[in-house]
Amino acid sequence: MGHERSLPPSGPRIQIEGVRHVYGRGVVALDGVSLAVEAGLFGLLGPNGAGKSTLMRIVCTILVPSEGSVRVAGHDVVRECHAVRSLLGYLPQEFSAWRSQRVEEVLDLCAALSGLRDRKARRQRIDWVLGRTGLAAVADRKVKALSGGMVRRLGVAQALVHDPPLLVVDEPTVGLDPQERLRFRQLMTGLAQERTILLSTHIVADLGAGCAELAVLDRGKIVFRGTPADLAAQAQGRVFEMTLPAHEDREDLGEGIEVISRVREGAAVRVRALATSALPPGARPIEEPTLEEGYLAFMAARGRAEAALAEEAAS
Amino acid sequence: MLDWSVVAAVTRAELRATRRLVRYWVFLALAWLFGIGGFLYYSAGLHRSLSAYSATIAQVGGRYFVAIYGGFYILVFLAGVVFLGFDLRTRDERARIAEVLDARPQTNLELVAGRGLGLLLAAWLPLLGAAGMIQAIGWSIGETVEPYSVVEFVVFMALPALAFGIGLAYLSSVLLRSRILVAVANLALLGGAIFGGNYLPVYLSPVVNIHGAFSLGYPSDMVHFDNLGLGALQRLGVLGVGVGLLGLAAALYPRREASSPRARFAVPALLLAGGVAATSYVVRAQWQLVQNLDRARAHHEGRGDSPVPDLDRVQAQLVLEPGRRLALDATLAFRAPATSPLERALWSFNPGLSVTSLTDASGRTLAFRHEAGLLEVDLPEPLAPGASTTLRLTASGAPETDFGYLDAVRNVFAQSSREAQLFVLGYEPSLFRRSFVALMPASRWLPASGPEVGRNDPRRRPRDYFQLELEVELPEGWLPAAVGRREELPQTAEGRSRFRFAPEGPVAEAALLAARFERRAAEIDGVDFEVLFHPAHRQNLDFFEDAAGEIRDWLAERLREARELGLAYPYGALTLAEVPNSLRTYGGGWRMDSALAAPGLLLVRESSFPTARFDVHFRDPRSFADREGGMARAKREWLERFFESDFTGGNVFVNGARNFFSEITGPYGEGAIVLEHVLQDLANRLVTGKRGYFSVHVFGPELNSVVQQVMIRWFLMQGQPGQRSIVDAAIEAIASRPTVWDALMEVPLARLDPWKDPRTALDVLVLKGDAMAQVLLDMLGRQAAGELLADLREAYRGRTFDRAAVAQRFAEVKPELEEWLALWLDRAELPAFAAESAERYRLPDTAEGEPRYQLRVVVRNEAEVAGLVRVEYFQDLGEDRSRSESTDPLLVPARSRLEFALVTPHPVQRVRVRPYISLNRGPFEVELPPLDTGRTVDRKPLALTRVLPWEPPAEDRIVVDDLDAGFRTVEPERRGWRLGGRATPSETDHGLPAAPPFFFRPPDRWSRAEAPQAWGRYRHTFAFVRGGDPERGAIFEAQLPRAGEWELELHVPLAADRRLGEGSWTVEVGEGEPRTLTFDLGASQSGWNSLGTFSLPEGLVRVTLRSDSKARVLVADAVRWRVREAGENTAHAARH
Repeated sequence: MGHERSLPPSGPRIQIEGVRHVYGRGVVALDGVSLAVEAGLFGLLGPNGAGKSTLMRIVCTILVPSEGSVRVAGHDVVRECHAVRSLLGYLPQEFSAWRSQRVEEVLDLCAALSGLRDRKARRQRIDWVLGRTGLAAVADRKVKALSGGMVRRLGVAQALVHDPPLLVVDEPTVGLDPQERLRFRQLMTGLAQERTILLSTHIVADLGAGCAELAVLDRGKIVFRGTPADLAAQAQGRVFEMTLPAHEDREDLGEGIEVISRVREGAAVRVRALATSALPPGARPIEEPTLEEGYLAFMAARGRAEAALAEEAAS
Repeated sequence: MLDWSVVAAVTRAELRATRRLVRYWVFLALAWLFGIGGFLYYSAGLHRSLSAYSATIAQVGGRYFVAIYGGFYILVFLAGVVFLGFDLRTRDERARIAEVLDARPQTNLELVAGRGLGLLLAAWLPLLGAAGMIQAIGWSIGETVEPYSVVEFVVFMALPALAFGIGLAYLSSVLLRSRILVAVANLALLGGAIFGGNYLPVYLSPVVNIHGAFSLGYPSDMVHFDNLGLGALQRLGVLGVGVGLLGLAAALYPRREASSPRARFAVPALLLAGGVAATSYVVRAQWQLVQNLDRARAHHEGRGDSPVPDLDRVQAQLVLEPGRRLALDATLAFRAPATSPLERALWSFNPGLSVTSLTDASGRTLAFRHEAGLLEVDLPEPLAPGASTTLRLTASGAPETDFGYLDAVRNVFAQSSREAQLFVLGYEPSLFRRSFVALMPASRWLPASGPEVGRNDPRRRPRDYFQLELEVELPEGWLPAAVGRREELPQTAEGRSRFRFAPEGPVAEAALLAARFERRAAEIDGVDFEVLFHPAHRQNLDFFEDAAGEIRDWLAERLREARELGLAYPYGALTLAEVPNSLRTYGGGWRMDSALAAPGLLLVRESSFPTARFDVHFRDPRSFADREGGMARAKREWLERFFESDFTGGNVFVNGARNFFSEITGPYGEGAIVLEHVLQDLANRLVTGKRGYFSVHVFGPELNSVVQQVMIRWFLMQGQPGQRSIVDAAIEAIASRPTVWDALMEVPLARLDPWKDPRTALDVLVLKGDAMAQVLLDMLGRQAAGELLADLREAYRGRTFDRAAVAQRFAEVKPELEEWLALWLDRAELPAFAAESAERYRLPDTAEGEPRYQLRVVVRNEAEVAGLVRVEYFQDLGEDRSRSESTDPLLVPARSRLEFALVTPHPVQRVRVRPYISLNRGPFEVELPPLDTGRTVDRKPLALTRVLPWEPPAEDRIVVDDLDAGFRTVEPERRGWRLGGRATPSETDHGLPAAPPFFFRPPDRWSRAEAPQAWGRYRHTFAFVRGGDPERGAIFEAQLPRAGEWELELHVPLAADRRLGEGSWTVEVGEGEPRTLTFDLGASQSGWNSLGTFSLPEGLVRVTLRSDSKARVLVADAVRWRVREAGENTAHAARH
């Protein structure tokens, strides 16, 4: 293939500068996005339609940005797409495979396409990736016989089969059951030890413990950049719990309050919520808000609490 | 550059994915069905079962037709490729893996090439299996496919075709992105290619010949792959375009690549350009072939009126280096025409041979020009009329094998494939290959006097007969065949073989064949008879070994009989030699007669006798044990039938009989075409007793219809008395068409211009000329007819005769023949016969008590020209047995009545008049009165033939026949849209399509058929149509001379119990408010059926015939009106 299949030991793995992308009918998907992605798992959070998938496709050389530049390991994704592709493993938001092909056949072709010429080496990688993704038992099963979760895992497997130094995963847990999600997060955390992962999601929990850094993309712009702790800190002092008699519990607890969760405790309901202004009477502030609450607080502060909440609910 | 490991991986995946598609297996099954089914049809169905019946059928078989059933396979799979490759990109999008693939580092070309290769293998590997299976099946039934043609199919046909199909499907899939659109576009292009292949001129066909049928020529066991040339280039062109399209699909594949467009498009564009250039080159070469022939023809035509040398003798030494060159050293002794001096000697001479020296008798070098096959030699001084001189010519080179038949009315390369079905008759005028040499006369490997144009028209130019002495030197082991006995000469110092031919008889042309033949020979009645064949085709000669004695006896008898008639075989040796399939079997001129005959030579195509399956019919010797002559006789008879029923120019009886007359002498001038045909036909009948029919003009779009007509006629003949062969059926079906009759009655034979409408002209010759020959034979008898020919042959041996000479000979033999000749040649009118009356009654028994029956028939000839008939009568022998006998030809003068009377020991149950050629166009039945065998009429027995005084026919009845002006049909307006519209009938008969008289599947529009049972003044025809549509009708109109009670009768050619079926017809009588009757088919009878009596005024009366919904057929033959006298009673068949 003629390209080094490793990333530089230091410095940004992905350098995004001033990327703007406009679709056909003038729809602006990305608007001046600049981002540097270092080693480890980098999370890209944002509600649906924020432009995450567009950015992923640009990074993966599938789309050409209308403006700006993206470099992967120093290679420009437009001019040196071939070099970039040889470094990538990509799991798109919507993934499946040819229904009549068996799992290992799909992986074999993907590995070969990525330049794994040696059949034996390919076999070893396939076995490894089948093991890592828990698909070993269904290796000879046709794709049409796989469950949705298995197909998703196959997606991860194909992205990993050639052992790429850079993994780009777009909304990887959509449609997965909680157990599969958990498993997936663990996998990503593990993989992030040895490679750079750019993970885009609208589900905050997907970032998991392995996420070193993240960015929030909203309406085509990067609106937040920091660590998960930084994002969680956005909710500091604004998340509270309060217990209400069941008959007083209402959908809307008042202006400036976004309910995060409700737990029924006998005749009472324990409500966890976010206050965009002052805490209501009886509220017990939470000392350590979660990342989700940080994201919600951040989005709420931007007047986008509904978008954030809707996707959390949908997930 | 391609990473082949990536390509291989994609190929494997594609192969796997394709094999898992149901549609792949559907198309594979269809391809196998058509391919293997096609092979089984051609091999087991046709060739194995039927090839032994006819040399024509034998040529259709699995061995040499892989291009056809292999073509089926490829075409089916090309359609399959459309459905397997129409979603190159969209299937990944549908499977939601497109982006995953897009983000991988393989190039688009690697992906597309890998997929293309996978699909190609998915299509091609089973094809290998199919080819293997075909050979295995073929081996098991003794019908293997010619091995080189299998390679051709697998490699040259299939690979480029599939590559093209895949490239096209992928490119359109990338461009259109909708599977339906891609499928429609590709199938339309495929259909367009097939359509174009049928309708484009042959020289343009390489452009659309995607599947490559016959690109590499006609398969052959005798010559193969030593002349790949243009065919292989065409396949490379298709392959180049296919791969180019694939590359273009990769270049346009909707996935971004870093490489420059120039880099992506350059190679596909080059491949496409290369493919197009290769195809264009092939087209150009074929076009040039057409042009070269046209140019040569024009060049020869330009010298058409020049005086032509009259060749006396040719002495030639020929050195052959097959496939490379030949060297000729020829001395030509010739004279100037008797009527004009000769300043330049014009010769036709192969343009591939370059003349190295040309000297006169004194050794002076002569100036000459050799252009487009015309050699013009400036004589040192003009040669006085009739004076003779010699030329010596040396020439060498590779003969141009495309040269020949310049004046042919059809050039297959300029016609569409649909028209040019005569491709199956071979297309190479000569062969000069490493393994086989066939220097046919028309290639002019020996100089022939005069230009080519005009040579085939004896009205314009006499045939030039000469004595030939030929020495041939060729590689050791090779055997030449030419005219006359082959005399082996001492080998050359280099060990090359030498042979000499010096036939006693004159020749007008000579062919030379040479190959490493195997030989079987015998001397039969003083003639060296030999068979030369390819070593691989020994099986049938071995098979007929036990019949060799029978065959020898048969040949000896024919040769002896001919000798006794004064028509001895003239050349000392007769060679039957096998030739490759690609050799053109038909000649030039308007006639394009068989080229499988040359003086002393009979050529047999390898697909004919050498490979026909006689063995399957003689497996069980017990079935021949009780047969007279046993199996040997049966085999000989079988062989006779085989060769006799060759309609592709290989009828050895007809071709062989040429040696006895027209190779030695022939007519020239007015009427020469007719005389040549009649005299040679007479020679055929005398020498071999066989007839033949060969017309390349039927090898066109209508060929299938012609074959169908012949088979129907053959089928109908089976029910008729007498021995009738398939040749008779063919001649009746083809040469007896209404068009031919119309043409025959338009122009006298002597003024027939065959160049205007060669097909019809030939059939006119066959129709009338054969009848003339038959009359000569019947009137003169065999011995006198033979002597007539022998006298002509002897008197004009080696030169031509004119019409006056023929007339004189005729007059010497039988005075009235001279008059007949004038009548045949100069008058287009035909006699018109009708049976006037017939009587039959029982006479008193003989003195020995044997019963006697009297038959008297009066036949009228109502035309202004005399004619000949034979009367055929069938005696009832009892117990359902009958015996048929026939009179000699009876002359019925113009406008006369002939009474024919005879006494028979058995009652005559049927009488049929068989005119030789007349307006009747065929035999007709004589209506006989009922015979009371118990009642004896005491009258004097009468056995005579006499001409009675002319009396006009009694007109007491008014008949409206389907051929009369008062008859017309009503055809409903066509409703709705119909694919392709209605086909224009190839033959119409008095305005209606001509059809065979079949009732089991009546035509769906009014048609006309002939049948002896139909009513007719002269011709016995009827109109018919499928029943059930009351809008269809037939109208008979007549003028009644007076008012009164008129009885109406309807003539039905076959009654209800004879195929008309059930149901009824309605008959409307009169106009305005007509009276409507129902004619019950169940109650009808063959012949006239009374429909009742009608009180009608004077003037026009109309009868309209329609069918009800149940009637299968509506037949309109004739109606008859008869005025009823008071008190008459009659039964009738209709309900009012």
